[in-house]
Amino acid sequence: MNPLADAYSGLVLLPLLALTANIVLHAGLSRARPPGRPWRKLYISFLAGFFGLVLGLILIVPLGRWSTSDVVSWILLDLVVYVCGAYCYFHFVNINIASLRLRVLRELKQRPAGLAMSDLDAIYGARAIVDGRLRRLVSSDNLVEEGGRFYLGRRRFFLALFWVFEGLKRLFLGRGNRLIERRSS
Amino acid sequence: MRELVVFTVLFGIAVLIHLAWLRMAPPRPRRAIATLLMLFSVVLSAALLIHSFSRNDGSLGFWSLLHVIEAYVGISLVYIISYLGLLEDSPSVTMVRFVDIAGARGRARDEFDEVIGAGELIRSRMEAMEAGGLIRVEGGRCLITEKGRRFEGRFGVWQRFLRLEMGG
Repeated sequence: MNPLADAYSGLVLLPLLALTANIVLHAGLSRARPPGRPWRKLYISFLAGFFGLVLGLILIVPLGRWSTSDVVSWILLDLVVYVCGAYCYFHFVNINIASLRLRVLRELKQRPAGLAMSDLDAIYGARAIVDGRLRRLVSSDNLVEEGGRFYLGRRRFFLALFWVFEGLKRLFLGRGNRLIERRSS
Repeated sequence: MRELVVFTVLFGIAVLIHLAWLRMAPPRPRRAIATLLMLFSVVLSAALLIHSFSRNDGSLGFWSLLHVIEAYVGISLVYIISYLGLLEDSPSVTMVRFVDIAGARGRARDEFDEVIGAGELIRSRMEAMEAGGLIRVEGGRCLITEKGRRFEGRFGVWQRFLRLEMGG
């Protein structure tokens, strides 16, 4: 057995273990704690997995006599694996919370005779979408409501996400957010 | 170090091919997932094939290959999710930016109706679901298909297990 290869295999498997810990902890929190505040549970489990990853790196890295460039590049790869996996899991949970498609499919499943488009608009029109999103944005501190008006909140996660997507939209699609552009024009 | 270089080169090649593809043909939202999965798989398979034929001292060992593959698969999935997000405008991020534009004045509830157009969001999704075979339209009424039931059921299991609020 080559101890260097064994230590490296630990580095390769570590982000997968940390990701598993993240998901298991999130599932545990979701089952054990009252429903609601899903972002908080995701955040806590992400951090727990991340600390597990860092702790694992602190334990494994001294076992191998590797060059600094190798260690740095492997840590970067481990971070890529963990953060990307956590991002995919976040989206999986988010789809269950925020997907219009799932909500509509659920409505249709409960009605064997189906629904007319106008009924769907009435049940799940833009107003309902806006109200639901505003509630979630306020509860996650991305927006605050004061005196019937909405302002930016303490957290800027969704605003940062807007700018990331805006840049990418321009690069890939040659246009920005159409809803904002339409209103500006 | 080589693992990081190989990973970066592979992902870079896949992104460049996708960008070139987008320049040649307009995006087709309904086939985006299949197209991107195929693209990323082909690039990885081609790299593994080339690697298997070029066994020499510089080739990567099993654990190095696994390291590259797990990072490549992870970033590919993030890329696909992010690209799908680009094709549609998320109501949540749009609303936050709308508030940001207003600055210190903030926004009243009714002002949000200016950006999130009535019925528009739901209609575009209904069209996509019909094209994907999740629903069908008969006599002006929307009905769920067997595929739609299965799709909803798969997510429903997780939604109940994780005790998440109803979607939408």
